[in-house]
Amino acid sequence: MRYNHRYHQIVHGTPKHRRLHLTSFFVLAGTLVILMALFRVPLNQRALLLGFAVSLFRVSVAYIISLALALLFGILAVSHEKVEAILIPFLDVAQSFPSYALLPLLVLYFGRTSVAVIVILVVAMIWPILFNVIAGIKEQRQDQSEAATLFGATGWRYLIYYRWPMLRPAIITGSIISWGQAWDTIVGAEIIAAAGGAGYYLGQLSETGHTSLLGLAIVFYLLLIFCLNQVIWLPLLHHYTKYQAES
Amino acid sequence: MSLKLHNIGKYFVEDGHHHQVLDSINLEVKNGEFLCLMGPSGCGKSTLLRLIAGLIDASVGGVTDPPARVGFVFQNFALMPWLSVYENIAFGLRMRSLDENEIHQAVTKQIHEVGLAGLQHRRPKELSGGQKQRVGLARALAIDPDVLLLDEPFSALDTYTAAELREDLLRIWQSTGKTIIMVTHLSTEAAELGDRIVVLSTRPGQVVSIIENNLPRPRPTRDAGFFALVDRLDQLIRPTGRH
Repeated sequence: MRYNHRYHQIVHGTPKHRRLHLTSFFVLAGTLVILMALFRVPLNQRALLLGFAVSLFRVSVAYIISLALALLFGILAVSHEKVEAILIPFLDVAQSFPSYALLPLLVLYFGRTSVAVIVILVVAMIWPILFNVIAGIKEQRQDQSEAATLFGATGWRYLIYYRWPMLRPAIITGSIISWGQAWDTIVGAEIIAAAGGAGYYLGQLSETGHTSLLGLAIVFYLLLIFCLNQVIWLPLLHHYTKYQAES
Repeated sequence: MSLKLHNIGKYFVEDGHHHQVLDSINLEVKNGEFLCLMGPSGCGKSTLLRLIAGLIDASVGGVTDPPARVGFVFQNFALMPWLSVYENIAFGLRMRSLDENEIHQAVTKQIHEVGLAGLQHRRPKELSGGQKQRVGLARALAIDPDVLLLDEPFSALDTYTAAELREDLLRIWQSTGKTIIMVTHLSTEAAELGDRIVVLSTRPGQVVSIIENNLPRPRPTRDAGFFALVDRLDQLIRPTGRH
């Protein structure tokens, strides 16, 4: 749960951490303004936003698939000792597989489409959620699980009323890392697959030598990603980890 | 209806080795009785309690007429940290798909019964140890159990809080007439609460002695009879005292 620790520190941390968030936001926003002023180049706002929207859509779809698969494999992996003995080493090796190596094959199969990019994203996004889910289940308190079972949470009720709420902090922590990986991956994937999106837009700016525009676009995307984290992920993490420890 | 444990044996397999925890446990728990289970550390007291609760199966023998509804109070509370006090108490009722009115009535009754009024919206993290165990007790009682099982329920609490909770438990037992089986490692606690005290041997746990506690209630915890019983229990639990 090393990821958990890191994000706990940030979210629940000292006012110094919170100041860091604000500072980084203003630094990014300031950089954008200064760049715009320096280069006096109007951004193609439509292409910029459309690129981001396409990428955001792909990451969102890939995230939903990754989350579902991570929950399925995570719960399966620790469901039985024998399954765990086979599945965990396999997953451990599989996570080190370079996702970009699959891209040519995927483009060949799916063409220059969103599907190829989404598959690559799933390969990159699934691991932090999966291993957080596994760690979350392994770290669960036996007596809490027994209490849930004993008071009637069996079968699907156990999953809905116990396992899901118990795993929420681990899932959200994994998701934050996963989205970070996704932004990292999607730029490369969209450039290589030439399938549109923010990465493709950045790649084109780079190829055509619009360095100033490229700088602006990167800072603009960083701001949007920063805002997504601030508005969605960190409040979610804060909300679900606030009371998670019993004492 | 009484609860009968018939020739119960339990072993676990670890690294290919059999570890026997319980051996030939025969016991009848009378309806409405307060039974205390004692024994040296690791003798299988908690395993026996989990076996009665149906959380684990016996390797040999079993429970005749197992109770349909079991309330369980855990040593370390085992509350759901994401739920409020109210929702923790309601947990077992929600799993039984009762309607909201019934749940509200049952939970409100228990909140007042165990002295948690005004705390229903708090989360476990915001409660003291004693308050948490009151929630644990209320959760167990809310389902109107046939048998109430308590696994060293006061051992994580300070002396004064434990004494308060013991008093509350006695009051609740006397007013509801529930069958209670409580695991404890304290002779004084067993002597104060139990109608009968079952003493188990070191692993594998076997019944060494079943002591009828005929001291009058409320128990005189400072008189000679009480101390004599406590001494007897201590003698039985100490390894040398078994011979």
